[in-house]
Amino acid sequence: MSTTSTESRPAQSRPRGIDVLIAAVLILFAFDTLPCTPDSVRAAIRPLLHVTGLWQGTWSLFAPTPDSTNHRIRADFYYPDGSHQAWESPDWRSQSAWQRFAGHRQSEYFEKIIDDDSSPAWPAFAHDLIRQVSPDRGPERVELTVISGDIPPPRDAWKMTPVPLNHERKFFTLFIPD
Amino acid sequence: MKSPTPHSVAALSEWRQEVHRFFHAPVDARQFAAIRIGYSLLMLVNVACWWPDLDRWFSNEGVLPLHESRQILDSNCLTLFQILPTDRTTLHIVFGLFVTHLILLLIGWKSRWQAVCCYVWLVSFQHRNSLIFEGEDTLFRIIGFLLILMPLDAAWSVDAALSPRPSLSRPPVIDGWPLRLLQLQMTMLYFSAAWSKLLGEPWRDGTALYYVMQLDEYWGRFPLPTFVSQSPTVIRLLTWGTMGLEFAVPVLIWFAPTRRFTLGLLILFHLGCDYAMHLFLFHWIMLVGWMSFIHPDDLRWPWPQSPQPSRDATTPRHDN
Repeated sequence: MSTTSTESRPAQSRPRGIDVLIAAVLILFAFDTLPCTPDSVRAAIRPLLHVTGLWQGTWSLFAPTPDSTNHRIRADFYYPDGSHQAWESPDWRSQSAWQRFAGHRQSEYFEKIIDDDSSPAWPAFAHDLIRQVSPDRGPERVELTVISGDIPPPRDAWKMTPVPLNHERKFFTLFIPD
Repeated sequence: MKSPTPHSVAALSEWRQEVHRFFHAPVDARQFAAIRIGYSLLMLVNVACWWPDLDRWFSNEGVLPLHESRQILDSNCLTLFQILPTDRTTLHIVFGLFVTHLILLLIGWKSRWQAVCCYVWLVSFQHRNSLIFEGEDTLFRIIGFLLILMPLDAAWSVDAALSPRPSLSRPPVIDGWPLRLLQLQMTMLYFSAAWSKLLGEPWRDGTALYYVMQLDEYWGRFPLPTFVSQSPTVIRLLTWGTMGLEFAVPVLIWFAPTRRFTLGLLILFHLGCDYAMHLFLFHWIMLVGWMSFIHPDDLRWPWPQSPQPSRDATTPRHDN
């Protein structure tokens, strides 16, 4: 970059090298962000973007289709004596703006942990819940369930009412040996 | 094969000169400094929110041990945590180093070196636990990289204050190509977002925000008038307006007659979304990115009267 001070490097070589860098960065960013980029091109540039940390992908902000499901996670702890304890992830609507701001990473984690791609993380999640919920009493089994509710399509003047969470899907069971 | 005509050679040469002028137009050094300061402040808020759950998110005793984290993310997504000791003391030392680099970046001491370190640490933390990061963190990462390319010390910095260079009557001007990269990144971001929305029927038929307003995770940060969420007409207008803004901004931001108005719209849009939605620092880092289009003259009142520039609006106007 030139400043008003004197440059030591030859003026000709510096702009050309920088121009190559500019072109390379712009081409990579353009191919990575544009939805029309062919999959073959994405596959070719993906390793470079991942290694350098410059990956971004298309900016699909609530797009093309916004998520239309609310969900919470429930963990059921079953103990050797036959007793049972349950834990649920926070009800976001009941939290204050500050709690939501400070706890943003937690909400992001609960959003992603239920995806099948996150399955390698499920055992550690279950163990983390045991540490939080039942540190002094070891369960023999922990079941993780996602409880969800679909936002209905707009009808009847688009009235919005609280979405009941009435679907359940058990996604992981952790068995703890004696 | 036909040899190029003198006319086409001259046209090509003129085009190359225009492109060179576009990328290498001199820029007020304070623009880079403002972005450095805005980014550093937001990153410090960001990592401060990591601190209470640092062990939970990033240690092997937390929700995602290193071995499992490598199974979730592409193997090319590297992190220094693959080679560092995995104990909690090391994690806390690394976190402390990251915060130190951010503070030094904020005050502008050896800024390029701080920017490199901050970028390496940020990528390492994001690749260590990808389950807690999302779109805004991507933008933090991209802007963090672009900061490395920027001359960050020339104004509003400790290094500038300690510089042996003679003080100037006005801030230095610097080759603006890194700023152009940030401007084009923001433009591509908005264009990508608009295009993605156009592909979705809820955005085309105006119902998209009807669904977004009922997502417990994102909507309802602060109270809104009831007509915003109860009127199909308002919801449709907001839906189409959002998509229209994202298509219009990448074009209008580049022209002098519409630049300031577009910047004003962007500020209103992002602050409005931040008021209504729980998106952490997303809208604030977006505003830091859009700051790349703000010239110091924009902050003076009344705005200086100057001849219309022959090039785009972000070409600085030199005082003579």
